[in-house]
This record gives sequence, C-alpha cells and structure tokens, in this order.
Amino acid sequence: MFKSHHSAVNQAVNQAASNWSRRALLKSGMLGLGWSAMASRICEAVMPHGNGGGHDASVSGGSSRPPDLVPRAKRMVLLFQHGGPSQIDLFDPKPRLHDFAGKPIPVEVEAFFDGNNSGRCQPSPFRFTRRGESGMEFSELLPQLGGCADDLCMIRSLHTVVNDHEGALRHFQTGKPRIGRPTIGSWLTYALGTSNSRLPPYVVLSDPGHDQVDGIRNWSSGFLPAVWQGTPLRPEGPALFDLELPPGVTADAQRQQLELLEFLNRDHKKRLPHLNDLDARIASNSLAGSIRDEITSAMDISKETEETQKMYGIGNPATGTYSRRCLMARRLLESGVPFVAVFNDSILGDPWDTHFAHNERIRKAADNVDRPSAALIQDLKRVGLLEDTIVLWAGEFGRLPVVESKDGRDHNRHAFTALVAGGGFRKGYVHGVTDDFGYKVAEKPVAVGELHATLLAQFGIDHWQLTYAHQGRNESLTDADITGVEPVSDLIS
Amino acid sequence: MKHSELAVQLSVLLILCLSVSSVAETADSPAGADVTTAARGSDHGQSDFWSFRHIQRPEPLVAASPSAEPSRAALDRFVLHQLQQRGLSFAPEADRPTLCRRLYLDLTGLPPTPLQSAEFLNDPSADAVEHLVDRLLASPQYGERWGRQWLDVAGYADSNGYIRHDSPRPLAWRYRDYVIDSLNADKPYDQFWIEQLAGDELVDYQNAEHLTADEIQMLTATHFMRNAPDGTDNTEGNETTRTIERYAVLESLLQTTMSAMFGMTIECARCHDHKFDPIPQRDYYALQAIFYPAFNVREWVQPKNRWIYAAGTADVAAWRASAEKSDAEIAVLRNAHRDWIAAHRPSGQAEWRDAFETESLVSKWTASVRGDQYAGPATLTALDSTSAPAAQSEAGQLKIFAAPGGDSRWLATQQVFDWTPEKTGHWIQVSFDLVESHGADGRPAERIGYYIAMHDHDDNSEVKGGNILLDGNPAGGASVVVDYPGRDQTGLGSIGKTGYVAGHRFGVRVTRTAENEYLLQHLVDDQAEPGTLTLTNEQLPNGAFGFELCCSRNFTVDNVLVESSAQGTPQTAESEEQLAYATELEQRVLQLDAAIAAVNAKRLPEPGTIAWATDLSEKSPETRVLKRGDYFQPGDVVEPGPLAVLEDSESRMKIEPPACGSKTTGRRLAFARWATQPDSRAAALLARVQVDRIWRGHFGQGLVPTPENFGSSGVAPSHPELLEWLASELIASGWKQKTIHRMIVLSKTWRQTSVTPDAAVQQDPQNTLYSRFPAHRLEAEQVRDSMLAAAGVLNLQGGGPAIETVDQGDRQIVLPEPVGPGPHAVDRRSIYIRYRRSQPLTFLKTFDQASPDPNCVSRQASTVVAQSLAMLNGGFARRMGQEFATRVSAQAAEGSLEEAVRYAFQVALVRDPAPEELTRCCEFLEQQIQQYQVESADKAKLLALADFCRMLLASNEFLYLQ
Repeated sequence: MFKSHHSAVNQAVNQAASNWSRRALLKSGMLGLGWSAMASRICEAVMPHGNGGGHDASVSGGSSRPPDLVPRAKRMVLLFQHGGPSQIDLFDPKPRLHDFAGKPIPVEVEAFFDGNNSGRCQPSPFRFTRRGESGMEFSELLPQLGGCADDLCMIRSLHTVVNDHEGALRHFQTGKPRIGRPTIGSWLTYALGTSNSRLPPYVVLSDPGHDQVDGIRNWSSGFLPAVWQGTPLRPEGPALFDLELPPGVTADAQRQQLELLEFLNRDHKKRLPHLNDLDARIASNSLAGSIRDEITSAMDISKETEETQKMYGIGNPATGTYSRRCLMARRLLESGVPFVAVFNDSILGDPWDTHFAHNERIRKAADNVDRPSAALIQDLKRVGLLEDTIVLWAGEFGRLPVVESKDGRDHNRHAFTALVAGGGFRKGYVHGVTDDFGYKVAEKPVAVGELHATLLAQFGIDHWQLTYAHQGRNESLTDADITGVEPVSDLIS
Repeated sequence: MKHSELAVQLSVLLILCLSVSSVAETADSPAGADVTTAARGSDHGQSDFWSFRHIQRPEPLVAASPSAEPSRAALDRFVLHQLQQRGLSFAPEADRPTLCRRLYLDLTGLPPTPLQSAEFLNDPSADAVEHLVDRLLASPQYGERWGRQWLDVAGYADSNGYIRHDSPRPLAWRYRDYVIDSLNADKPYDQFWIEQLAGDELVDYQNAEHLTADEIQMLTATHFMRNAPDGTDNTEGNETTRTIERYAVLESLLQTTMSAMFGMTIECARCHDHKFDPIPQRDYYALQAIFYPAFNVREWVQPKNRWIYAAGTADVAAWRASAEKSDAEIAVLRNAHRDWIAAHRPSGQAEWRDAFETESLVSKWTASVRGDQYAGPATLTALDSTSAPAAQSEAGQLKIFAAPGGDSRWLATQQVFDWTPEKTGHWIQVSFDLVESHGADGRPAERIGYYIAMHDHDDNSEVKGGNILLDGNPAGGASVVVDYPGRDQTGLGSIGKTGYVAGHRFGVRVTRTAENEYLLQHLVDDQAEPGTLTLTNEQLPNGAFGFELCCSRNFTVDNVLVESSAQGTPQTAESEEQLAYATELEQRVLQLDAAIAAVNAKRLPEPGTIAWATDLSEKSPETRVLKRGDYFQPGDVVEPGPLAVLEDSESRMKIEPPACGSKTTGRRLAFARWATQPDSRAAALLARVQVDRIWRGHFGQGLVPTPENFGSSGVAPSHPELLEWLASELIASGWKQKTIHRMIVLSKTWRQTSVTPDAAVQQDPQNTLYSRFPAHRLEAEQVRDSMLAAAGVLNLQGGGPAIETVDQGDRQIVLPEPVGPGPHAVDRRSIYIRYRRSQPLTFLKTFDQASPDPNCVSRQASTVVAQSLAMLNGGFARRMGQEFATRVSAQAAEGSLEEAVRYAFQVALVRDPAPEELTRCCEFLEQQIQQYQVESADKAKLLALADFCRMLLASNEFLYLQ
C-alpha cells in the first residue's frame, strides 16, 4: 500500500534521519547566533558521534525525496480552545435534533461520564444564520467570527481518539495521546528555524492567571531539543522570567557585568578553542543583555491605535486577557516569530468544558474569544500577513448531542469542528458532514493526523520527511508509516 | 459505542507505533488483521549481534607501561590503540588544580573547598590522586551525585503525573534515599536490580513479626516499579478511560525497566513484532506477564493505597492496639468536654436554625443563590431527593449526596445573613453536628465543604468576595477560599487544627475586631481554636450559609445553627455569666490538654510507611497478547518469559514460589535472577549498558552513542573492545560499580587535559577517539549545588522527605527565600528538592534537568537564553552572588580588592587569576563601586563584589567540567 519512496524511507531508517529542513536551513544561512543557533550546538553536544541523530547535515538521507512542496505558509497562530467547544451550538446546525428534543437518541452514544448520560437529545437553543457570500453557517454565539466566513475554511468532520481532556489535548498537539512527544509548534519551528533569532521561535500566550489542563505539556518539545519548546511570554509584568533588571542595578551596571563576563569567557575560549559550545554560550549571554527591549517592544500593545485595540475587544471584561493576547500574537508574528500559540481564558475552570449549565457557560466562553479571534484574522489580513499565515481555531474534541445530568453536554471525540484561515486553506469552504445528530462524522472524515499533515504541507514540509531519530526510531508528528495519513487536498485552494 | 468499534480506533491511535499493515487513522477504517507473527523463542539468529552475545573479553593489548595497574592500563591501551591508528596519542595529563576540580565535581558533584584543594595540591606522595579518589568514592556525596543519574534512568518523580492533578507521591523519597544508600554502600549491581524488581519476594513481609533494616530496604527498593507516571488516583470518566490509564502505567514500567536494564526500546512490540530487533510481539506480553500480577488492570490498586508499614506484623499489631486504646481514651475525654460545653456555654442570639425535623427542605433551603444571574443552578442540587447531587432530610438529619466529578454544587439557606457585625466585639457564627461522612469508596469523605456569605456562584455579579468556602479537612482544620469558584477565587490559608471527624460539632465565627477587620475563627464543639484569619468588609457581603456538594463527598449533618452576639452587648463587655464560663473553660481546656498529652505519651509511635509494589495476589492472573495492542481485543494467553533474544537453553527463566514464603507469584524474582545469572547473555548486556552509563557520566559522552538503543537500529560502540573489557571487569568485580569508577578516573584517558593542539582536533574533531578530555557542561544539579558550595551556604544534610517548592505566583517554581542564619533546608543539594512533574524547579529545568516521561537515559545540554537570564538577573543567582561576596570579603585582608579576586577565583575555579584577569576584575570592581549610590563605601563594595562573584558563577569555566 505504500508509495515507493515511503518504503525507501522505511529501509533507510537505520541510516541517519532524513532531514531536509536542516540542510535547507544551513544552505539558506538562516541560522544566526540566537535562539536557534543554540539548538545546533545542542545537537552537536547530544550526538557527538555525528551519525546517531537527525541533525547531521553531512549525512544525507540517501533515498529520501527532495522537497517538492511549495510553501504557502510562513508562520502560524494556534488559537486553542481548551475544554472542547460544542460544534452543535457553534458551527454545525442540527435541525433534526429539535424533532428529538428530550427524546432518547436512537444511536448508542459514548459518554465520558457515562453515569451522567441521560441519553436524551438536546437541540441547540442558539439561532444559526448564513454568513458572507459563502453562506457559511454560524450560530448567534459567534457573530464576529461569522463575519470572517469568506476567509475561513470550516472543517466539520474532525474526529479524535480519546475522550479525556489530557489524552485528546496531547493527540491534538503532538499526534498521540501519550506524554513525551513534541507539539506541532515544536515540530514546525524545528523544521523552519526563525527569521528573528532575537525572539523565541515558539511563543506561548496562555491565561496568565490560570494553568490550563495538562499545563506545560501543551507546549512541550518532548524528545526534541529543549530550544524548540514553547516559551511562555506573560502578557502582564515581565514577559520572561528574570528578564527585568534586578532592583538597584542600572542598565550601565549590567552592561559592565556582561563585559566582564565576556572577557572571562573569551579568555577561557582561547584555552579551549575547539569547543564550539562556548561560542553559543557567549552569544547567549550577549542576547540576554539585549532582548529585554526587543521582547518588550514586540509585545507592547500600547503602540496600537485605540481603534485597533477596540477591534480586539480590549477593555471589554468579557474578552478577559484573551483579547490582549491575540493582539500581542499579531505583533509577534510581524516581528518574525514563526509560531504563536494562544489559549483561551479560564472561566470557571475549563471554559468550553460545559458539563453543567451548558447554555449559560458556552455563551461566556464564546464571548471571551469571538471578537478577539475574528479581529486577529481581519488584522492579519489588513497588514497583509494572512496570505502566508495559518490561523487555526480548534479545541481538543466536540460535545455530545445528548443531555449530561440536567443541563450539560459531555465530551464527544467522534466529531468536532475547527476553523482555519490563511496559508492557502480554502476560503469560504465547509468540509465534511456529520450525522443528523452531530454525533459522528458521516462524510469526508478528517483525522487530527490528517490535519497535521495538511498544515505541514502548507509550510512546504513533507510530513513523511520531517523526522527526528529517537530511541531507535525516526519519529515524526504524523507517524505516517503507521497511521498512513496524508494531507487533505480538499482543504487547500 | 460497541467495544469492537472503539477498539479499532483506539488501537490505531493510542499507541506509539503500529502495525505497518494497519490502515489510516480515519473514522471508517476497518478492523485490520491480527499481525502478530513469530512465536517466542526464536532469536532470528541475532544472538551473535554485538550487544546480544556473551561477553567477548578481549586480550589486553601489549602493555605500553608495565608499571601501571593492569586493568587501568588495559583501558588506556584500548583507547590508545585507536588513537595511534590515526597517528595520535594521549594529550598530557591535566594540571593538578584542574584535576582536583574535575575529580571532586565528577565523583561528588561538588567543587573542592579551598582547604580541600590545598590539601590535595600539597600532598607530595606519589599516590595522592589514588588517595583522593578513594576518599571521594567513600564520601556520602558520591551517592548523591551518581544516584541522580540512576534516578533519571529509573524515572523518579515526587508526583504521580499523567493527568492534570499530578497528585503527590509523599513517600517516593524513601526510594531516592534507598538509591543513594545503595550506591554509597557499593551494593553489587546485580543485587541492586534484584531488590528493585523483586525485593518483596525476598522478604516474608506478611508473616514476619519484625523486619530488619535490610528487609525494609528491600521492600523500599520495589518503588522502582512505581516510578512510572500513574494518574489512576484521580481518573475520571468511563471504563475505557480507566483501562487506558491503567495499561499506560504498566507500559511505562516496562519501557523504563527495559531501557534501564538492557538499553532496549520495546514499545513497538506492543502492537507488532519489532521491526529491527528480534523482539516478537509475544515477547512483549511475556514480559508484561512478569509484572502483570503486581499491576493487574482488572484488580487495580491506586497509588495512594499501595503502601505498607515498615515494620513486622507483631510491631504493627502492637502499635494498632496501642493506638486504639489511646484513641478511645481520648475520645472519652473529648466527648466529656464537648458535653460540658454544650450544657454550659452562653449561647448567642439564634438567627436561624434547622434540626431537620420536617421532611422537606424546600421551605428553608435552596439550590440557587441570589446573586446568580442564570437559572441553571437552581436545578443543580435536587432537594428532597437521593439522586445525586441531592440533599434530603431524613430521620431528623440532613443527608448530602454528592455526585462524582469536580463540578461544585451546593445547598444554601434561603435566609441571607449579615456577616459583618456593626460593632467591634460583635460576632456571628454558624455551626453544625457532623454525624457521618463517606466518599465513593466508603471511607470518610476527603473534605467537608461549607460556605458562608454565599452570594453568587457564577462569578458574574458586581459584588466582590463572598462565597467563602471552608474546606474542612479530616487531617485537621479548614482551608479558606474567598469567591469560590471562578477566576477571582483566592485561597487565604487555613484555620483551626482539629480534623473533621464525625461525632463533633464544627463551624466558624466571624468577629469584628476593628474597622474593616473581621476575625475568622474555627469552631470545634462550639469552642474557638487557635489558627485564625482576618477578613475584610468586601469579602463578607450579606449572603447565605450553604454546604458544598462535590466529588462523591457524602455526609450527614444535624442542628445547623446560626447565632450572633446579642445586639448592644459586645463580647468585650462580658457578662458575669460569660466571665465565669470563660474562666472555667480555660481551666478545663488546660486539664483536657494535659490529660490528652498523658494518654499520647503512652502511645507507641506509628511505624514508618513505605510506598511499594507487590503482586496483588498469589494466584497468577492470565495475561494475553493484545491484538494490535488493542486493550479490548485479547488474543492468545502468554506465559511469563524474558526476552527470547537473550535466553539460552542453559539460562532459562525458572519461576518458583519465593523461598522466603512471601505470597507472590515469584515471576519478578525469577526474571531478576535470570537477568543477572552469571555468564549469561542477559547479564552481559546488563553489564554493557551499565558500564557505558558510568562512562557517560565521567566523560559526558558514552561509548555507545545511542544509550537508549543497544539494538540493531542503534549505533555500534566507538570502542567495542573497551566496552567488553569494562563489562567483564564489572562482572568480575562482583558487580561493584566503584571498581569501574576508580578504574576510569585513574586512567590516563580520563586524566588528560581538555586543551589540545589543533592537529588532534583536526584528526578527531568530535573527540570520539578521546584525544583529550571532553570538556562538557555541568548538569543542572551540579550547577546549582556548585553555586551553593561556592557561596559557602551549601547544607550537606542528606536524606528525608523532599524539600517543598513554591509557585512564585507567576508560574516560576522556586524555593522559598530563607530567613535568618543558615544552614537552610532550601540550600540542600538538588537531589533532595521535590520533583513535581508539572512544577519542576524552574532553575533546574532551565539547565536541562531530566523529564521522567517515563524515564531519561541521557540528558541534553542546551544553551538557551533563559540560562543566561537566570544567571544574570535571577533571584537564586543573585542570592548566591551576595553570599559568595560575603564569604570573599570576610577572607580578603584589609578589604583588598586583589585579595578578594584571588580568593574568589580559588573558590570558584580552583586556580589563581592570570595577571590580566586580575587587572580586569579589579577594574570591574572599581567601575561597579561607582555605579552604586549607597550609604557607605563598604556597602557599595559588597554590592560590586556580589556582581563580580555572580559573573564568576555565570562564567563558562565555572559551568564546565574541563
């Protein structure tokens, strides 16, 4: 069933990992001395023998295929919606459910809290309307995102593999429900490097007040070198730990300290001239002295007009900190950061996780993200970045069409909806169909891994070839020789 | 959904790797065929692969220097041989100061003190190095340094991980101490494994009347099998989720064990035959069958319940009898005291009461709260119902039926109270009898939650504060959270100390103590306890009293009573009656405390506890191959067995009932004995993996470049004969690891300088030939510990419970700032700091501390800007700089800057500064002194010295072993 080059990849697995991106990067000279340069040092340190890892540029993958994909995207922002937004109430109208309101659902339903499953149908109380020229349907809960309909590709037929938050989050972020694997942001930045080595390549903007479910694993680099893990930048106070000058220390004093440090290190380096790691550390110290301004400026939304701030909903309590973080995301993308992950605010815990009081709580979760998410898409379009920026709006799974307990909706791994804008994704297009109840995918199913493969392809990356040798295996985001996933061409214009 | 259908999707995706013939992860993928193939027992003819074969002890090459100790000389000759083939030779030996620092850091993880280095440098004897090595290997710090490497390999953590709760493992530290003690004692490596895999099968713990210290060690060792992430204390959801999470524990255990023992990756064989190594799928399940009796997914035991007393049956029985007797005596005393209070206390003015004498709750109680703007919650708790979440008045008592899950629901009084008395000394209080409590498992509920000033639950009203949750803890006191639940909730700490045990009356009293200041006291049996908090007006809006319904915490209460001080008679102006009562109460409390203390004095101390693993039953459960790794598609039954590729006819694994009489299946003991059997191929691989690990620890790089993979898809050793030699030496020494450490650090190879001429670098750019000592960055713990040592504040106290970390509030995980004179617990070595998986200490994580997911056989050494920032601006580095400066200025005569710089170089780098360094450093100090506009010249100098010291700690030379 495999295409020839795939078998070749399999056979070549005992050789050094094929890694086109690394070679491409070295050729392009994109690696300056900054965040990513340090990674190259790491890999040399990790693989002193040169032939064990995925990073030795001198060893060719031999039988691997040269890249022939045309990149359509250069950067990506993930607007992650923790908790599992209800597709039935937001994107995927199910009029048939009204006929069954309060009646038993005629199919067997897998509930997470199976003891709380009433088995009775619960139609959405929210009104759907067709938006834009495309006529894409949105519920009244997302009026602003609905306004972006003609820029959006709506995938109604996503499905995932497990029903618990942690497992489904990991599956969405890393391709498997297990712990210890790199997130898509790590894979992408590992492949792409960054054009601004003075900012972290993978920025995380999460709710400053609350840890989301599964915490730091949401941006873990897993087995990839730590330099490719997400760097959380805080939207309030100093953006990075230890970024601020200590009390009583002037910028001049710090400069002198750094000069002394550099003197000591240069002197030391003379004695160990062959140890390249030392250069990376010297560069890193010098970067530490100068990034404060760079990061602070990249995140300074006070430089934006009042109109722009208003467009994002800044100042409106319903949008919490999410609005400010969306605007920061745009500034960071503009400054050359290739991957930004924004997480929704925590409201009463996990915002979209509406196990009780569903109708009320989903409204708050929607109010939190609707305007800022839409503003980011429009704003990227305004500044001309949307064409080669992917905006992905999604949660880890969907919700069930039946009542949980008295007024909740439980997890549904069998069908959920995601929105994608930019980066070559088809505009004004709705992909896939769910059954009459919105419980399962009926047509054109899209597995999370297929979405991953598609995203990589838009960056010009063949998901078969973006690999990293780990524990005797060439690991990849999609694990395609096992899962067999491929990009979904229908999603692409 | 049908299991079979679910199975298809799960099998395709849950797993790390899958059969090549399985289809895409698409919703409509059909069930694939079962692809397990070869039966166990076939090694595919790979038993002569370099890692799988018997030890090939090489003939030592011709001696180059007959005077040297033979083994050490042999080691050097294998290295030299390859160097010579490239026309290279060893670099000269490192100078003595460098060697001194290298030896200390490498063997103990700490730099030498100036006194220690002077002692070594002034030792004129020919065997000064040997003496130092022996002393360092015998020091307790050796076990702390090398124990850390083992804990990485074993996947040690102080929390359960896997899911968000990441609940603590309060007893894991005993395993950590076991590892350190075992290494310090140079416990033979084979014995070390036998204890970790089957210590429980060597001790008849069920019947032994007393346990010896050694036996307790053996039981503690089995915690190795508990290191895997295990979320099953907190599992939510359906049976499928529970099954997946239990198997995940078993699989991580297998992964850790195989990589730690044999450097093998076997995860692939869970679903199909291994692609590159001769490990058929059946082997995976045969291995799983060895551990399955202890981790039977059908008879699962949660981590929190896997513990025993570290004492024999007679000792435990004696303690229990003593405890029961003492508890009963104390209960009599307490009850008498309670009854006296109930009869004599001057009560306040009753504002509201319910003795639950009517059958319906609806007249007085509600499941809604006034401040809420949505209708939903009104239906949340069912009144007069038993269908959880519900509350019912039954037999004159209030019964709370909580649903499982973490969503908090409640039952509130319809009446709203004013929680802010108008005059100083006035109070309002609520109390209730706790009649009974139980969780889902029948044991007492984990918490008894109740609210005062209940205002809103949806966190949407303009009223701030309110909804003050009192989380009554059976272990003692109640934690207080304002504005629960929601974004603004704020934990204030806890009040009181008495545990929430049925049979007593609990509650809280709010007393106005000043303008906008209200004292919150914990009431037990109507008496206020020490341990209070202060609230403000804003935190106490008018609101209801209520009970929390959460997380299967069911309980029964009675006589809910809200009282307030009679208006106009503040507590400060007490009546005679009150005064008399207070006086007598004080006397009675003193008497009660004395009586309880007298009872407790006679009580036998509770034996310590051990978190461990053992077979859940003596009877062997059936283990089956899972078709395509699918938990819901069992295939053929498999018998326990080791990896066939390492099994020979003369070294079969023999399962017998444990000789000690322990009621276990004997499977793990049989496996451990098989793996360590002399002259077997398994023992050969066990030895190879471990000597490579030791080598890696000493050089920062291994002989085998892929330590996680000694299989055929890994990379062959750079010095195969040397590896064989070392492995055979380890076995020949009786598996004494210190023999290998000693051999390595005394070798010429290790003692070379790391500085080398360009020619050698050209010939051996990656230093794979060891043409020089490979300089490498210190590991995270060495960095922190060395900083503490240089600063002169390192606290060398060993062992015991983990040192708690705190979230600084911005997700930076730190140790609390120490107060007062040291030594401080927070300045102990890094191996003793709690490793909570979701909250590792930020400083250590920044320097690439291992992530036990599930274990780590080789760390990275990254260079990221966060490291520079931590050293430049971070709180820990700043404090170390200050302490170091204090130490330095105490030593420097007459405040001479030059003296200070010299001493600081000696402490941090074990050398004198070169003249140009000295000049430059003094210049810097002069510059910085100018920068500080402080009250005295001395202070400016100390600040400048602190900056200088911090830069020394941040310097590459300090951070590298060279």
